Amino acid sequence: MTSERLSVASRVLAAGLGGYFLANAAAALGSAVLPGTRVEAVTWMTTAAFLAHLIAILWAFAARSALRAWIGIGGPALACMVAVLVIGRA
Amino acid sequence: MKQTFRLSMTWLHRSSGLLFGWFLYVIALTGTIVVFSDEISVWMQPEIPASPTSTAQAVMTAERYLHGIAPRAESWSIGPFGQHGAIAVGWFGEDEGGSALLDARTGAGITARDTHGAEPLVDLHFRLHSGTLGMWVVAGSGMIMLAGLVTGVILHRRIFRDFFTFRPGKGQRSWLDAHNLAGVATLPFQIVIAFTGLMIFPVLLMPGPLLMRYDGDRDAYITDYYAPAARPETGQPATLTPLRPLLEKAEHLLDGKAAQVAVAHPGDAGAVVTVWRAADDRLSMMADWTAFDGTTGTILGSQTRYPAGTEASGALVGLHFAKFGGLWTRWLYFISGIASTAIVATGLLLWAIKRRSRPVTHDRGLWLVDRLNLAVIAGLPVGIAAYFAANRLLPPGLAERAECETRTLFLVWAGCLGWAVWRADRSAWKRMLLLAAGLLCVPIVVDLASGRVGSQMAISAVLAVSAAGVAAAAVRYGRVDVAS
Repeated sequence: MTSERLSVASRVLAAGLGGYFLANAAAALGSAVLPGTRVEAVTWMTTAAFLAHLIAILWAFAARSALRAWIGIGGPALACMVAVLVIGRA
Repeated sequence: MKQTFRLSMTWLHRSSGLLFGWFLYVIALTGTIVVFSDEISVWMQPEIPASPTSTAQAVMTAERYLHGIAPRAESWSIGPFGQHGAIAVGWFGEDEGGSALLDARTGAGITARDTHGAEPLVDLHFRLHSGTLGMWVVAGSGMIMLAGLVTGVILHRRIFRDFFTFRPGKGQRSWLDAHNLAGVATLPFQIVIAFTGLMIFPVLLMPGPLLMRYDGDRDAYITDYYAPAARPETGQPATLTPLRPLLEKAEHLLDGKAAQVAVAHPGDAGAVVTVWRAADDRLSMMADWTAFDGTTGTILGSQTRYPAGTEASGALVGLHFAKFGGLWTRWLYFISGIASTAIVATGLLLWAIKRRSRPVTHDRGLWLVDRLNLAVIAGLPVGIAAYFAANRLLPPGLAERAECETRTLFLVWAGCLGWAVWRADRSAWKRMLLLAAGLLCVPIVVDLASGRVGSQMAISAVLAVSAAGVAAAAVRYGRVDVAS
């Protein structure tokens, strides 16, 4: 496998799996901090999650290198995940 | 990824478009057709009396029938009420259950031909006829479509000028112009239809917030915004109050026409009659309901308002289903859907045309793309046309008739794939499209021969125009190179 192909495969994973995870983690965090009832928080944040995933997909292929693509997606995803674990499920 | 942002986005547009293009074509074409799913389902059962009856009449007929056949069922369902003279009823219980189609005026059972109607096409549209896995592929295709629309806009420097540019008869240039013109002209529709498609099963596809706030309990989430009144069976027999006055009360209360009626434990003192409001006169698809005590007729509960987010997402779903604006809105959706289908088809063809210009003798990638393009772009219309033809040709008494119709669609489509793989040459596109056009004419010929065409006029006319369109495309554009 050439480095070019490896880079493409890595970005596809970042966009598909990484982006999907980021969208869910960010939306989960958002639903925890959004004021109002939980049914409202879940509905709005689930809607927003699709847009978050879309932006992550575009970023994965726009970033200058595959490593940058992963940092840009994995970083925020981990941050959201840590925040979610700190706040805890409720 | 490439030297510039625009080149990266161009690469993404081409690669993801090719990989998901065949899925997107199936989704777009079937989605376009099922804009008229209700009309198609009625058309596929020509035994149904055409002249519409009032909802009140239909409910009284259904009530009388259900009292006779299943007085002690656990529940009854009546409807949905349609623009025709039949009423569907169902009864459910631990050991007895069934359904029937009745003449709404006389109450006589209608023996209509066994068919799934538009349902296999709907199933292809939202999950590629492949269950849960298919649903995920369709959802992924939806995201790719959204990304394709954004990258498509980015890679266009001259988006405004492309709106007015079409240079026919110039090979690759013309296909690209057609792709751009259809894309730019219907861009708002394309964005809305892809996004609202994802909003039909939102918490299933993006479970993050649901896991966070409800521990993943979807029923608890739904109950928080939508919970029709229910109560348990008492075991005390009681007479069910007549349904028609309840229906009229509900239509007044809900300020709209009823779509469906259900009765929980009829014949019991705990009976509940629920009436759902039709959602075809407004954007939101949320089904307002009113529930009555089935013995006294007093109101147990009613819901016409929802949390703001629920109302908004109900409206997004409504934008996808296109039931809100009557027939003319559906025609606009149908035409825009043809544009979606054309965008995907021209995009797939462009990839092959561009690739063909490379000086390579045995291009295995091109070999595969050429065949899949032929089998999907021309083959699926053949399969769908065969499905409609089978509806008119299969004998009414055939065992598993509805299944046979569905199987015809997939067998004929598989045949087209075989044709594309083993026998494809320069005239294959033309022949396959002409076959689709021919098959589309079969139901018209059968209806003319049986003198039934009067009540089936509208759909028959659409079929005739479609057949003419496909035939014209076959003759005009049918000579397409297929790599050997």
